[in-house]
Amino acid sequence: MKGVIVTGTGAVRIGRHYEKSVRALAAEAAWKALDEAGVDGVDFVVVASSLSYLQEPQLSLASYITSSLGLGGARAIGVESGETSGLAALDVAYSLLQSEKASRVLVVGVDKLTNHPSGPTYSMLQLLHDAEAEAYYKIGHAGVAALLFRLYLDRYNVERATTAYWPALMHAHAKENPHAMLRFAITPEKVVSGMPLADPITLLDAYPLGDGAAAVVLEREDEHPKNPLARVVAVESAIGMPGPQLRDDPLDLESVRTVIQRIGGTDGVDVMEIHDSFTIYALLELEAMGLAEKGKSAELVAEGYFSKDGEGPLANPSGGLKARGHPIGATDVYKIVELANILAGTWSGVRRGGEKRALALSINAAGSEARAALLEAL
Amino acid sequence: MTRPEERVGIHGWGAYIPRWRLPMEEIGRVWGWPPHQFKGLNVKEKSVDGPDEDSTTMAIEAGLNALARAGVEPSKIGAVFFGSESKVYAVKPSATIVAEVLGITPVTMASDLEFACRAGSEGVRASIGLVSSGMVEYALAIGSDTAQAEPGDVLEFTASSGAAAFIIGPREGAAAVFEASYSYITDTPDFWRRALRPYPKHGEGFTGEPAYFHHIINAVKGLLEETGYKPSDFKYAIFHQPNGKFPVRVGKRLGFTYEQIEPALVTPYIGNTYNASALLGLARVLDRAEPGDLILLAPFGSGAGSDAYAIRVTEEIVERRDKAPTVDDYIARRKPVDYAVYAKNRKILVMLPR
Repeated sequence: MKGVIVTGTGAVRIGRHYEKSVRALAAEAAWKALDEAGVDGVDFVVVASSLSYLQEPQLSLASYITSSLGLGGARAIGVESGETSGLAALDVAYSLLQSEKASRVLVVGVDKLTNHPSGPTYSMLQLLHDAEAEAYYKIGHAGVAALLFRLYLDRYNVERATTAYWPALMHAHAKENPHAMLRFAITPEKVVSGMPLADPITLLDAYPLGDGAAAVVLEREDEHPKNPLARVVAVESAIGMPGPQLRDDPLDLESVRTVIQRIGGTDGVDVMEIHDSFTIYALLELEAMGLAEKGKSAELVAEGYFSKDGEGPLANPSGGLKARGHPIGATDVYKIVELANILAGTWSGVRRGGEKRALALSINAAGSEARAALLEAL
Repeated sequence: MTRPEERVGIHGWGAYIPRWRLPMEEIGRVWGWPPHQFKGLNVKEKSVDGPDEDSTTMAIEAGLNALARAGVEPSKIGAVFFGSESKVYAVKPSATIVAEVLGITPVTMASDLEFACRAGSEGVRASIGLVSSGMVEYALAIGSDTAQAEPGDVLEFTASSGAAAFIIGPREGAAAVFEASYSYITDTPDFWRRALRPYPKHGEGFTGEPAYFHHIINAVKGLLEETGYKPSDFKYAIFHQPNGKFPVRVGKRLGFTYEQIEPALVTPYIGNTYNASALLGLARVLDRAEPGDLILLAPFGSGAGSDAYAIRVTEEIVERRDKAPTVDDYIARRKPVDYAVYAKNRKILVMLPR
């Protein structure tokens, strides 16, 4: 296996970038990454974006982004896999480098969620779910998560207040992350008493609507890159049933179980960035990953097991989708930016120090697909 | 060479606020909003027009109060500007009704202005131009609204009813004189209502930073640069008040203190009266200002634009204050209604033709 190295990272602070187009955001992140890698050209640009096709709107986005970057000599590939678009793009880049079709690849993730008022944007986000079985009935992105959350609380007899420690932890982490959208602390009490989005989900259980772009440069280890930060060890994916109602157990994220199995488990993982668009998904993922017993993840989170001083892997030092933000197709690229910098010791946010192995995990919708990447320190 | 503004002053000011009040809790009760969801707006209740009131009748009431304070013969008024986004006619001026009732017609200009919440302020600035040039001796500028909001929309918590009117004339004999003014306008679609639609739409968070804050901050900065004044030179600072928190926040960002901003805050008691919002703030400040006080006024309208004015109070203010009811008199004159009465008064109920 050829070693694949992250050599440059760039991220735009997530927020309401009304004045910037998708292309402008992508360029900001891409140039940071190219500068950091110390390179002025790449063989391929792989663009991860999901909502741009509806928000901007723009089709064939990868070619337009690549040409606007002035990288006319590069080949461009666009990847759309909903909320897992970023890790799908990483998978493509990783394969291009492994197969020696490329020596250097730029991965750019970008999405805007504020080109329209929240109503139309939520209609677009609905399409992350099965358009025939779920989106058609307008149950909503939060609605599906709310059903699973209610089932979870009832089946495992978990106190609502216990689950609120996850968003509070995410906000505590985001405070230290320079490119996080919501850099302020919240209390678990505030989560529970917040505005209901889809009962029992409140506003503070949900990711904010924000625009963002993140980019990484990947190079082959055997070509001796100038600025090695971290090694990509594996990139994997798995699909699940199209909707939770079709799973044997709606609370069992079988796509996450499969992808973790394919990537070789979570042993030795010091730090991870998982997918918490809504609190319930973080809890279900921790259980599907084997890091918590069923119905017990919220308690572990509340006890600080995944916090900076905890015994488990450090969870979402970025602040997660919840507080760092979740510009759909860009989110997974943010995870790689953050984890690579943690492993390289160049991360200014929350970390324990000495991290050797990092895991990025994402799901689309309620688990219709799952992707994971393993990174290690050099 | 003096500025045109320096030849012009405010001779009379007048307010009008309907007596009916709808508490925030009542709106929250109907739509299922828990109190902490609207507490942040810093508004207690909003004024609601009665079944016999509209933007024209309120403008007339405010105009009568302004005339009482100015002591000006109505026929000497050569221009009437009616700024509103809730005109009773889509086509047919309201300004003519106001001018006729107040005895200003027929030798006068009269027109309705539309610029979301800023049209009334445009009337003030246009009046400065007309008076300073000598084209008219006095002008009447009014901001009046029975603001619309879609039932259940967050706007419904604040959209309220009220009017403010100003008789603008020569510097001599004015209760307050203008020193400078400055306008800052861009095409920013943060809030709008298309033709034949009953309720306005808004760009949610887009109404804040790129609209309200950007335009007010640039208008005020422009005025400060032009005059050489700094925030501490002003006794009072008045901003457009879409809710109770934005004027305080924009003022603090510009370097003003809460003590300078607080006296003009009317929205916490009656909601956002749109075209009358900042102008009622000015009326409330004039109700209590002392000769020599320097006032900053910065209305804002979506779409978007802001005007900043520097206004100096004269000796004349002392004997004008008590010639008409004050803003606080109107704020104190209140009768709470429930959502059902509000819905009837506001004609939200759909009635079948008889």
